[in-house]
Amino acid sequence: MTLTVSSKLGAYAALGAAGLLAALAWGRPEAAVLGLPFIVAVLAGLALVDPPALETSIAVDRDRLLEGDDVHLAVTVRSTTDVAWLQVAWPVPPSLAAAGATDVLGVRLVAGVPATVETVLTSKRWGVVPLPRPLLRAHDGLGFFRFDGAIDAGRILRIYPRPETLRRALAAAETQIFSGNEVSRFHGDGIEFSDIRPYVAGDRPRHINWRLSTRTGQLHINEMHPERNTDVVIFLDLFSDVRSGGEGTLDYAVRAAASLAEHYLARRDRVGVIGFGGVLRWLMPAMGSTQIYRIVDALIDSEVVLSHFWRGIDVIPPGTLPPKSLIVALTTLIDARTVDALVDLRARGFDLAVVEVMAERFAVPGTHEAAQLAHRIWHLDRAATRLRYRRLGVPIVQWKPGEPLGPALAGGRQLERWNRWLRV
Amino acid sequence: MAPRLTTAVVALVGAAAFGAISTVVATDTTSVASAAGRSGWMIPGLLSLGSLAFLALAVALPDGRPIVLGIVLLGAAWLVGIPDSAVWHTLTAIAAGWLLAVAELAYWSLDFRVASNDQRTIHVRRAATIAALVGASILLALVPQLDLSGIPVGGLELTVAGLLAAAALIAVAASMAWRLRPSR
Repeated sequence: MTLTVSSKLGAYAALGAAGLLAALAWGRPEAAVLGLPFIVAVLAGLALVDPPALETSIAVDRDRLLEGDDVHLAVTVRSTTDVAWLQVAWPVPPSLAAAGATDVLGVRLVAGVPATVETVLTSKRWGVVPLPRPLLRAHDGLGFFRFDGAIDAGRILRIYPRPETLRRALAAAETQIFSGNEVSRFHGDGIEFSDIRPYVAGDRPRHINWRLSTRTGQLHINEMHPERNTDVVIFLDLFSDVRSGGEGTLDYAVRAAASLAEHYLARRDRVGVIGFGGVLRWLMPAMGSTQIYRIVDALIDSEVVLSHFWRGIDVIPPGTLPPKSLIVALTTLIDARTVDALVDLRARGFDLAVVEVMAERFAVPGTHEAAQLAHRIWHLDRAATRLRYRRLGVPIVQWKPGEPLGPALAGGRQLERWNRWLRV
Repeated sequence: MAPRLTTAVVALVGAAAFGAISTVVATDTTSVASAAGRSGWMIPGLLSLGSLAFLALAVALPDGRPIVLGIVLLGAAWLVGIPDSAVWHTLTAIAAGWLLAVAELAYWSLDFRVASNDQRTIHVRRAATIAALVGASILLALVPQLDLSGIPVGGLELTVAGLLAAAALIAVAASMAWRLRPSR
């Protein structure tokens, strides 16, 4: 531990010296008497100081948690000597908050007797957070010296975004071959009624519509829509993150991505992720309960990496975007590289839906006239981008961060029907 | 935090009482302040008020630097205020202990600003440490007030006493160096 002499020791030494000097200069021994206790205190402090030899350990109740969950940390300290007063401080990173009133606690250590200091931290934002290193500060009995040290926790907290439960999300235009919860546009074995047609040889008798057949005198068959799964790729824009007041668009975009992934995977769809930014990240589409863990593990590493390199969709690995897959893009529509990449995907025939994470909440216009003009131009530019997508038949949903995602997607489903009608 | 407020108030009250005594006794004609020509209470009174201002500033900021100035002003108020009599010179030892107590309480109010899980024991031990320190200081400060006519003022005895004092200081320094040696 690092030894630091407190200002109190110097002050006492100065007071004692001042008393002695005053006695000499003034010729009055009372001045020396007044300074004597401070000299005694300094000598006693120097004689009694004993650096503590601390043994420490850290216990964490869990290292994986959801946003809003609490994590309990406990530091156990043991000393071979008495420590008059030991302070344990937890430097709280921005992703966490101290649940208690204070993040500094004091404890008295008796030689050989372990003492445990506990604290509770609440997770505020998803991410991979190194466990904060508890700082230790031991004081001697007279407050003349302090000994500073830190405990190397060597642990990492993985904070996952808390997903929103979605009743419905955007549906893919095309289905795949595996069974799922999405009603296919094609005819086949299923439970959703589709159409009626005259009987042909080979049709199964159980599909005969007897009511219509007896009325017309000719056998008719009920046709059904099969239930199939879909391929969904969540396209996360990592080129821009508009932040203000400790939160930003990326925070909400990742939460929305986790919500969408959980929803689609619960429907037995195959879900993949693309993080399109300065560093490209991707996860091949897959289905099953393990995929949600892979996805959230990939999502919490998301960060905006500054890059001026022009990046198109040609850098995306081919298997990441299966044919007939639905691409749900979560973007702020700010970076031109993302805007052009999505247009390129649409032009190549992918089923694309855009969820715009509205950055207006975090972009407050300045008070100056020029700043307000720039803000209005920015708004117009974004409106033009939205119009560009709509002309291409891409449903675009505007989602205000902080509001539920479900109602915003409901508006997108209306556009989606119109979009399908356009493509027919 | 409660301890901080309590000790700060006690320190300020102690300093005010110390300053009040210095001011009251300064009206005696044998005090340095009265000999200066003006009303005797004025100089120690002003010094005491200045001291209180510095101590209040120290606990309000909070910062330990004004405490030194406050203690210096209180000591000066005592020195200019006490009458020139043997009784008051003897009481200076107690005043010195009082000053140390005021300083310790003021620093205590700055140090203990965080909660602790064994608050009562910590504060009891700190109070006991201060009491022991003040008591020992008063006893040592009384030594110069004793009748020292029988103690030799020169020769071999004084040389031996000086050597012993020097050896004691070296022992304290060596002890501190040993305790604070860098651990591997």
